[in-house]
Amino acid sequence: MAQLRRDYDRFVERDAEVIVVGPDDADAFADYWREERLPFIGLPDPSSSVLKRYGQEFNLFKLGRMPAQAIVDKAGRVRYLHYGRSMSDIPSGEQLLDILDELNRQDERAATKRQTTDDTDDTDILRSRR
Amino acid sequence: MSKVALNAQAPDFTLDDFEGHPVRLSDYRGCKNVVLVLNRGFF
Repeated sequence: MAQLRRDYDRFVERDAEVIVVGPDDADAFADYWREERLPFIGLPDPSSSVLKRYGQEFNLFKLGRMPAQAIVDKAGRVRYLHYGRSMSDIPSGEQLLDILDELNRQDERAATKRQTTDDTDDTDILRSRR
Repeated sequence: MSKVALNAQAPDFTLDDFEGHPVRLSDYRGCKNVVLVLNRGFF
């Protein structure tokens, strides 16, 4: 979380919002966010509805869910999924930022392509491929 | 319910943030990428 806080501005520069979901209740979130001065969104999920859906199953030793990370692009598609094997198995900020750079590059390329083919008959084919 | 899969549409959800404001994943569609961090807990 400290790393995410340090890198937050660089996520914002890449048109990304950081959303942290956890099983703790709203009070625990509020305390933690105040103490750590976190700039991003914190979503308490005490019933684990989103954690169950997006996270992985409990591990064999019943220690609880391991951390997981996902990146959803502007089209609402999951473009990156990482399931930690241990509490410390977390991708670095640099890795996540690199992925966002690549997604934004792909967006720009797609936008350019759409512009140049706007007046042709290819648009339907392009749309169906997207 | 659809499962989370790479390159598939992300299942939508709405949760209240810790100040009670609803946050919906699909509200970011068309404008922002979302880095979703699923935590085990703070302690």
